[in-house]
Amino acid sequence: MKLSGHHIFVTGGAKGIGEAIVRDCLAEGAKVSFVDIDVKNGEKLAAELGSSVKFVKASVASFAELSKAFSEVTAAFGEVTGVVNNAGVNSHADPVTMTDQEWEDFFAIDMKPVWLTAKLALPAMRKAGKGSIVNIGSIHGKLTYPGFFPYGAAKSAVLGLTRNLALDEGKHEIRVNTVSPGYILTDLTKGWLSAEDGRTERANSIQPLGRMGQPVEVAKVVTFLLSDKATYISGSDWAVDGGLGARSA
Amino acid sequence: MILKGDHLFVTGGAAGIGEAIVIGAAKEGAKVSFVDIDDAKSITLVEKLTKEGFNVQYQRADVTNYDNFSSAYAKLVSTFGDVTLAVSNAGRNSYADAVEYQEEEWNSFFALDLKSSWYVAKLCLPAMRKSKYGSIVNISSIHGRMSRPNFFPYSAAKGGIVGLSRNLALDEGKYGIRVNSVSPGTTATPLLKSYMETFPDEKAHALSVAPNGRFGTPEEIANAIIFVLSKDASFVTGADLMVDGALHSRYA
Repeated sequence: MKLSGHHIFVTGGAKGIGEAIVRDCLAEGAKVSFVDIDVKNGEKLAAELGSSVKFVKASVASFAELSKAFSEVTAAFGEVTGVVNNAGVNSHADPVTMTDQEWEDFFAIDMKPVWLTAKLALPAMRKAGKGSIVNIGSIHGKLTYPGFFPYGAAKSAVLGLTRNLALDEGKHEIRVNTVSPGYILTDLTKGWLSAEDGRTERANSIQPLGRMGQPVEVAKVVTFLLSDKATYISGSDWAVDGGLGARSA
Repeated sequence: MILKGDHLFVTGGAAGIGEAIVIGAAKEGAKVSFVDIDDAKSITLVEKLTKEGFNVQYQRADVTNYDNFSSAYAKLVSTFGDVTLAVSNAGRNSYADAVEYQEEEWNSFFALDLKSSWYVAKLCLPAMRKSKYGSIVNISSIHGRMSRPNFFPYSAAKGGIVGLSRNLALDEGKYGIRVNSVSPGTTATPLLKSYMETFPDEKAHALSVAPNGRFGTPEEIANAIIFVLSKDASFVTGADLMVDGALHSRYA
């Protein structure tokens, strides 16, 4: 039980990698709170997992909603000891036709919440002299693929945010890391794969392990980095991509 | 007990990070075999762990000499069975002037700090391929990606480890074998102590730039290595995993 005594706060916890993280943190002994805009799946998951899991509807794009949710979950479970920034959406835009509002909306979900949750969680962590933040990046933070503008930019920015937060909060023994998944079989990925004939076959064919990953395989790495087993790991980008990032096209 | 049922092989297991890996992995349920050139320390470690009820064994081996290394490996396998996990950890420091450095010194240094990771793969891959299971961790360093003055040619060897791990990951993935490098930062080991003795000003500097104001312990590095070896890391391969208290996020 790597996370006994912890309270882990997860964004986008209702489905996919977020759901797997919620489940694994609970299995490792933590109290787990999560926000999502998907009320149906959020409530369903919280009901299934019981009293050590709390779901609050909130959009990470709204600091007002996020901070209200944060107050609610700390009132219920005490100060947050670990944060997982997982909420995110895809973006496949043409830089000419993309509108300013689309840009703003996208970065408000895929980048800015890393700051917003830090703003909320750091005061108690600094006081405790301890804390761990894990940001879900992507293989697109370092290498990308045609058609992913500006997703790669947001995910690279998450790496930069991680580095600076790690350097600034290290003196409080607060650790900040990125976990960068490759192809993980979430609804988001499955949607992208099925949008074009042959994508699934091509995706599998480039995987060094010959397969795509499961959400739980990312969750296990996140749980490890949240735990006291990872006390000297900070500012790092841990790839969980089945070796894809080691390969040139 | 995340390594239950596994047989871990470690090079340079007598001291520092290697010793912490041997101890940590034994506690996580693995049978552990290691080689080293330090008989006294190794035997003491094996006796201590055996007394505590762990399955640990040692053979003396020079990992730069393939014949010597492979015969030690064969003995270890004959008692504990095929190796399922391996850590190539043996290594030493090098501080050379590129003009003064002699070719024999270069060759003997790279034989230890780079080539021995190939030997580890050469020895343990056949059984791993057959069983379609295995995990190898090669110990690199923060010097694999950024360095300090006076580390020629240490960084070249450590950069080499990262590249070697990537290629092995791509080539062995089809067998379900994972290969990663773990790159420690400033860690309180005998190697660090010898470095600090050689360059007395470096200790204060290293502490002043450490984002959390302290060095890592061998146990903290070993915890990360053990995690990457384990089935919990089943989709982690071809990666270089930094364990350095955020030092690599900072320049100067």
